[in-house]
Amino acid sequence: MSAQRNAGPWLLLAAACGLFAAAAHAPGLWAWLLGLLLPGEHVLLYPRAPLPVLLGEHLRLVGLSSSLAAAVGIPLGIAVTRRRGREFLPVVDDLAAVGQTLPPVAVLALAVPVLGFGARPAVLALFLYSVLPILRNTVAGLEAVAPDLVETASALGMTPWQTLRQVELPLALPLIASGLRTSVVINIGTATVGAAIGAGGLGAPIIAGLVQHNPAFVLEGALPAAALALLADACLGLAEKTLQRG
Amino acid sequence: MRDTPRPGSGGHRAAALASLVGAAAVLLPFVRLRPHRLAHGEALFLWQALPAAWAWGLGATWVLCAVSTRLWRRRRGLTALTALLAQLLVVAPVALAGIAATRLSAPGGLVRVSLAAGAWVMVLSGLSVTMASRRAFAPSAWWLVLPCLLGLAGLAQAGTLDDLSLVQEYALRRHRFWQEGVRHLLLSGTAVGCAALLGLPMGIAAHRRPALARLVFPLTNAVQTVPSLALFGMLMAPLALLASSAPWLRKSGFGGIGWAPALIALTLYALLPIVRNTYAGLQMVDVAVRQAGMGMGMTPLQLFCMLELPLALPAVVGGVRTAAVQAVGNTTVAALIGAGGWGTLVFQGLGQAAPDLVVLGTLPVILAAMGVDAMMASLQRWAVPPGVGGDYG
Repeated sequence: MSAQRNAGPWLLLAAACGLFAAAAHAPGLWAWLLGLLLPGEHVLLYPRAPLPVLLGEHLRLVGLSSSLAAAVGIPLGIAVTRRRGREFLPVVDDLAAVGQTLPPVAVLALAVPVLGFGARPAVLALFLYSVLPILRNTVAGLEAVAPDLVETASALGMTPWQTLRQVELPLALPLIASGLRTSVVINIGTATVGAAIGAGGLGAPIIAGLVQHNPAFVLEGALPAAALALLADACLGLAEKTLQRG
Repeated sequence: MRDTPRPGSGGHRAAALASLVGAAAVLLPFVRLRPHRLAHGEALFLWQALPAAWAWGLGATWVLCAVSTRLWRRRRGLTALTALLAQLLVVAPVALAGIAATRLSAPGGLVRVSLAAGAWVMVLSGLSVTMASRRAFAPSAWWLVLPCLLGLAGLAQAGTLDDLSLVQEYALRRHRFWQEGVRHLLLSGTAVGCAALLGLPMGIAAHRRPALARLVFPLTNAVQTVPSLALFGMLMAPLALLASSAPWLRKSGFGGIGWAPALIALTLYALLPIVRNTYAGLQMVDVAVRQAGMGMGMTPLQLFCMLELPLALPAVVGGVRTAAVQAVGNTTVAALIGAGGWGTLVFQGLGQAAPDLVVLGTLPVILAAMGVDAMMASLQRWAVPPGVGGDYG
């Protein structure tokens, strides 16, 4: 498949992201749109912080926690599929199974009694929760590599490190990327609730709007949050597809 | 090359590690003492809250637990014994914290005592050791945790825990706690029920018409991607508009906030797992099996009801399982739009900066999610038709 044929979806997504960023930086546009949708409201824009600041806080929460999760989850997944770490594989399986039943909001809420309010406990909670899908997918991806291939590689004289880098990881990459995507999407959603523990972000106007019965505030937070999640999902999904092909 | 761990021995080193973590947790702050409900207070070590001998005893028992995990390879009975010991170590810190709370607080005073990091780490370590020992039995041997559940229930009955802050928060709103609990389960249950009623036909239709599958999946996927709080929020304005134009709707509590947006959003969320699994389950049915059925002269309806549906059933139940576990969690967020449920306690606790109230709301949500998961897992195993192999955890 030629590179040019793959460029179409990327260009479309880049345009969508650009449009989103431009819209986030145009308060006049929001005031007009919200006024159109909700003619009865007088105060249309969340007064505590402008949209770009809220969006920045949100992106920082998600970016920090997801990159931490990748930095811990991927090496850990590699470690438990090596010969010496294999004994801990059942533990990882158990952990992943428990993590799947644990509601992300519960982890976020429990961060408060332990660490208090603010952005730092929120990042830690998001990290702890989102490390599990990455870990699970890294393990699944590496386990799915045919044992014959690994044996062939070592028979060809490749060291375990070379086998990992040149055979196993490239084959596992699509699944690892899909774990990363799950983690980012969950984090964008959970970070919205993070406003309740004082972490700021796009959830702040939503919660303020719900408390003050102002649907305009709610929409000012909810629409960008939804768009952000959908865009992130689309971008990472496309990256995943590209990796699968390549 | 890739040797799997021997059965019965799997995870003994992990269990030893967890026991050592438990032993080290004796050195962490054990309880937190606060002059009143909302104060930050000070952390106390085990030897500050109770006679030092107790701290030594608890630490020694953890080391004993670590040592006994070394014996796992020999006999299953020994593994069971370690599991029991580990659960004793789950119950013991809670009991000790309860006793410490009674000693530290004067009757009728405002002093609050809650579990601190050390006690929580010990509880989690004990549960991890028990979980690891489970591998010597069956992967689904959840009954192994019964002793510690009974132990904790016994402690609560005996009143040992009455002076712990968490129990005091509960005692203050016993009635409310159960009321919100019923609401929580009713709301998530109804949403999953609605989603099953909608999702099953949608999955079947998508299986029959590939064009429909191309429409349904991107839509349900997109719904799942949107943050739950954003979805609740986006329903607020349109539903309020709808309620204001139809007074009879408003009378039943329908409106921009409350149960209506919660139920709609939760149902939409629960759709994807159910539709996806129904579709996947039907797609997995072997063509040869279908042809054999046709060869026997089965009508399309018989083919569907007697062959395809029973074979797809475990996957369908699996979808409902995922949806139900998610719904229990998402209903917590629904409290923010006034739909009630245990989330009300969580967000009230966050608003008042009362940490124990947050825990009081969060714990039942976690337990309910796990309980629903275990229940649906056994339903899933039961749904496997006789003669069909398969691994449904």
